[in-house]
Formats: sequence, C-alpha cells, structure tokens
Amino acid sequence: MKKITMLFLVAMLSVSMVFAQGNKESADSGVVELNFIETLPSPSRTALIQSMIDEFEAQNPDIKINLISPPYEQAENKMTMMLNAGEKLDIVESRDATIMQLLNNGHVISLEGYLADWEHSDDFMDISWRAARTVGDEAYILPMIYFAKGLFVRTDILEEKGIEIPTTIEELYDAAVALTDGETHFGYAIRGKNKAWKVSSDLISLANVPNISMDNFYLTEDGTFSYATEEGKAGLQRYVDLYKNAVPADGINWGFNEQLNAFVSGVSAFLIQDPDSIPVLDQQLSRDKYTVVPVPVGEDTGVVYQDFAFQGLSITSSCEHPDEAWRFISFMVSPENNARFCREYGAIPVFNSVFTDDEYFSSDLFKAWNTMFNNPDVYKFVNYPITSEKFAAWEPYNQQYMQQLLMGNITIDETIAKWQEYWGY
Amino acid sequence: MKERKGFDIYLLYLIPVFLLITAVVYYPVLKGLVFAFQDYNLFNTTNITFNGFDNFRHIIEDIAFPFGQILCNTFVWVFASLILQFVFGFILAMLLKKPFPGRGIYTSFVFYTWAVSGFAIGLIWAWIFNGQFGLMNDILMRLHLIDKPIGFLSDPKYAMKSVIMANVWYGIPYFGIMLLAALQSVPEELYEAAKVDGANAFTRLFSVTIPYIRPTIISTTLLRMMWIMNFPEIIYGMTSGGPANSTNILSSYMLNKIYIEFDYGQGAAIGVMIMTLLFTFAVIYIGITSRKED
Repeated sequence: MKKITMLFLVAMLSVSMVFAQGNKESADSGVVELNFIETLPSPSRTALIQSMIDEFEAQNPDIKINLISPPYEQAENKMTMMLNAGEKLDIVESRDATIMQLLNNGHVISLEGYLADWEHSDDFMDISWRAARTVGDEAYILPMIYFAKGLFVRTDILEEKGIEIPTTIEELYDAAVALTDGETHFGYAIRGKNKAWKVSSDLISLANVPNISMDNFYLTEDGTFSYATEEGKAGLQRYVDLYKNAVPADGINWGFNEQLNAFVSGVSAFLIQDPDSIPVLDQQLSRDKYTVVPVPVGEDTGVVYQDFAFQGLSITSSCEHPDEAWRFISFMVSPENNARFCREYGAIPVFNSVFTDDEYFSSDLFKAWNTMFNNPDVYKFVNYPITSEKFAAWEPYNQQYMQQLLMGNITIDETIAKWQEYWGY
Repeated sequence: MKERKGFDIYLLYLIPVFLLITAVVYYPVLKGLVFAFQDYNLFNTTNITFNGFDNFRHIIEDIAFPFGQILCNTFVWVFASLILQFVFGFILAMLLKKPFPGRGIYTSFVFYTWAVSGFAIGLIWAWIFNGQFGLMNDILMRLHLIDKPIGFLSDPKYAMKSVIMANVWYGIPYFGIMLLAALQSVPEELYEAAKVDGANAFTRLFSVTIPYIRPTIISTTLLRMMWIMNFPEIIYGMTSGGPANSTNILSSYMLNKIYIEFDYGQGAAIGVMIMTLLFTFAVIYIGITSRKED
C-alpha cells in the first residue's frame, strides 16, 4: 500500500514539474499573459466574451488573456479588492459608476495616446467621447456599450383605444390616464424600487425644468436644486399623479421583472426602459404588438433629460504590457465586434457606422436611440453627480422618501426639502 | 515529569488547528470590529482613518432610516418567525411521528423547502404576493373574500406579515426535522406509565414529551433565532426592505450599506450591533432556561 502511495506521489510530482516547465517555456517564448476581470458577468455574457477572447488569441498568438469572472454580486468588490491588494490585473471592466473610484485610487491609466492613433476613433459618436472622458477630461475608459431609456409602447392597445403615441410628458400622462380603468388596465408600468430615480422618475419629473446642468442632473445652470424649481415641483406632482391615476397601487414595489410583466400582460401600455428589455420582450410579444419611440419631451421646454449608462474597458496602472492590453481592448471594441456584443447583450453600440451598416441595429426599434443620440439639443444626456461621495447612498435615500411620498405619508415640499438637504445644494 | 512533557506535545499538535481557526474565524471577526471604527468607504480607499463612534452615531441618528423602526422590525421579524416556525414545526413533527404508509416519501417532500436557497424563496413568494397577478390575490378573489387585489408587498400594513409568512414556510421543516428526531427518542414506556396514571393526551404532551425533549427545544430555538436575525435573503428578494423602510431589518440594512453604499465602516458597525444583540439574547435565554431546570 505504502509503495502505491509513494509511486502516486512521485507521479504527481513529475506531472507538476512538467507543467511548471511548460509555464516557464511559454514565458521564455515571449507570450504575454494578461489578466482581465469582467465585472458584469452572466453565463451567456461570459461565454460571449470568452469566444471573443479565443478569436483574439488565434489572431494574436503572442498574447494570452486570462478571463476572471467572479459571481455577479461580488464582481466589482472583488475587482477593487484585487487592485487594492496589488494582485496582477491588467484589464478591468469599468463603467460610469466605478471609473471615478478606479481613478481616485490610481488604478487606471490614460488612453488618450492610443485613441489619437486609432483608426476607429473618427467613427465614435459624440456621446462616446463624453463617456471615454467622464473624469478629468481625459480618456480612462474605452466605452463598449450604452444603455439609455426609450419609451416602449403597446401599439395594439393604443390602436384599439384610438390613442396616439405620445411625444410629450403631458401627452403621456393624458394617454396613460385614459387607458386606466382602475381594475385590469392601467396606463403606465412604473418602477417603484431599485433605482426608480435612474429608470424614470427623474426623467418624467424634471423634463420641464428649462436649464438643467449637463454635468449634474440635480442642479440647474444657476445652481438651484432641480427639484426645488417651480417646474421641478410641478413635475414631481405630475409623477405622483401618474402613480395615483395610471398605475396599480402595487407599482410601488415593482422592480424590472414586474415592470416587464405588466407591459407584456397588457396591464400597462407604456414602459420606460433600457434596450436590454428588447430581447426579453421579443420572446414574449411579437413586434407588431409593441414598438420603441424616443422618450417624450417636456411640453414647455421641448427637451428631455436623462442619463446614459455605459460600460467599457480600462487598462490598469500596474499593467506591465499596456500596448498588448490596448491591442486586446481595441479588438473587443472594433465596430464589428461591438455590434455583435451589443446585439447579444441587448445594448446600444458606440459607433455611428453600426446604426447604418449592421442589419440588426438599422431596424425600426433602434431608430429611437439613433434619433436620441443624434439630437443632442432635444435629448439631453446629462450626468448624475457620480463623482460626489454622496452618490452611492442616494439610491436607498431617494427610494425611502419617494415611497413615502407615493404612499401619501409626506408632501411634495417635504420630500424636496429632504432631498435638497441630502445633497446640500 | 514525563507526563508533563506529553502534554506539551499535545499542545504542539493543536497549533495547526489553532492557526487555521484564527485565520478563518477570529481574524475576520477582529477585522470586522476594526472596520466598525473606521471611515472605510470603497469610494476612496486611499484615505482610511479611525473615526471613533461616528459610524454608530450615524446609523442611530439617521432620520431617513429611523433606527428605532429598523430595530422594531428586526424584533418582529425574529420573534414572529421563530414562534410560528416552532409551533408549526412541532405540529409537523408530532404528525410525522406516527407511522403511516408512504411516510418516508412524504417526509422527504415536506422537508424539501429547507433545501431551497433564500433568494429563490424570496423570488417565488414575491410572485405569490404580487399585487396584480399574484396567486394569493387570485385565490382570495375567487373565494370572494376580497373585491380587488391587495398590494401585499406595497402596503406597509401587509408587507412585514407577507415576508414573515414566507420565512415561516421556509423554516418549518427545520424544526420538523430536529423535533422529530428528538420525539423519536422519547421512550414509549414513559407514555404507557403516564397512561396508567390516568394522564390525558394534553397532560402527556406537557408533562412527558416537552420536558423530555427540552434540551433540543432550547438549542434549536436559540440557533434558529440567530439564523433568522442574520437571514435577510427573503426580505431582499421580496421587498428590498421597502416599502419605505417597513420591512428593513438590521441585516438587510447592513447589506444595503455594503452592496449599495459601499460603506464598509457603517456596514461593520451594524454587524457589531447584531453580534452584541445576539450575544445578549443568548446569555439571557440560556440564563432563563437553565434556571428553570433546577
């Protein structure tokens, strides 16, 4: 028995030595290994990224990419922990909400030099430059996907009731109320919890405020808290009315799933959502039953404000081979790969050419986003104050008072005062 | 002298285990304690300083999330869940004690819920209690008990009751399993003797069964109390602590602090509060229950 054990151990030892040798050889032969962490993983997304990595490695035999995919809930914390602990990470997935944190802690490098020489830089939409240069007017992120809201409309229901597709917030309100019978049919699929402000409550409430700052959704250009303006108050009141008159009471607890369910089942005919709802809706509703149009604008201002979410790739400051890392990230975000990735992930691509050349993105539904991204005077993509230290805790704070307000426990003025006090504007 | 030397060697053998436990249990606990007194926010990790009791003060004084309400919610959540789980679990164990055809299969079906993850249960019950197309509303409407759907999770009147109901459903099998095992160890002779003495079923339950399985009852309820207090998954899946704080308990509040606000300092401070509360409970509970035993 002892003999067998010994033999087994010797065998193990020799196998491990062979592998150790193998690693050394690959290092000697000049293959650069890069560690890449994804922070928004899902099984299908990870598989897609892995297949793109395989293609890249086939074209670039001198670079090997090690993909790290932690479980979704922990992914961003894991990235931060690894960077803080000085573990080897070369490429990280960064996004609007994390890029500031990464830069503050000195974890990412500027990409300006690379972008200046890149053949596809000219094809960038305006918004892509804005996303890249989110902090410090310098590009620390190569944007990959966008999310922005569109108005999803149940065309079959509207046709049946003889109601036109709304183009202003006021028309949306009137149409939603007209569709509501208080029992089985309601107008609007509201978002009640989990970032309701980011999904639609700010968009609907603040569209009539004339001069919101592009840098901060919550400030006007003359420095007033957006909700504290006359138009902001009236807008919030209309949002409360919309909840009371065109949404089931249960809506206060609706997250993404409940919203989509209300839209698919025909309980609610209007929905404000991101493009990633399209693959889900296509499975359950045919396209002759619904469409997407640009979000409605404020009647008085003729504009509408919303933020846009983006995610991209960044190179870490500890990366020893930034040129190779750039080769990889610029491969991942080439127009063809970008269209493919966005199609499978349900996001909006970053290049102008994709909207005309790609069969999928030139279709009717995506015209809504195409229009919005090409009309910056009407569709204003403003930033949330993501660089403020108060931003992270805003979500629970906003939800707390918004739910109180919708339930009628506090008044509009009290709510606005609480929010203003929170931001200190 | 020789014996003494042997003892030293045993101590030496214990070192690896001691190191392991220190690394995986005591170090994280200590680290958590340290976080609680630091300004530790993932937003800026280059500037971490000690801030005394600021984290605790902030949590207790935060008017947006009234601490009294959260504490009160925690007590209701823990004790209502615990008592109902125990009572139904006990009934379940009593029913399963008597042999009947197919008992083995039936038992494994009944205990199945214990194997489902808390988040999954939260999602399932969120649909059951959905205020528009939920199963619960459908049943109540078909029975003509209500005219229009109730927003179980959107109305603070019902929200806490609804999440507790889901938790009770989940926890019954635990008591079922533990109490069934204990019940099966009660010697039949005791019941026979009690019968001879003229005890009815009620007296037999309170004078024979419960005193005999008392140690199991004490340890299971104590353990379960700790678990329920540290079990925010169902609440997270169903209401995320809402509407307007009405189902927020200490552990769901802690999760919010860490996963949404990235504030590890305040999160750890809530963790310390939970630990202190549980420790106090445990001491009082054991004190009361062991005194009665004399």
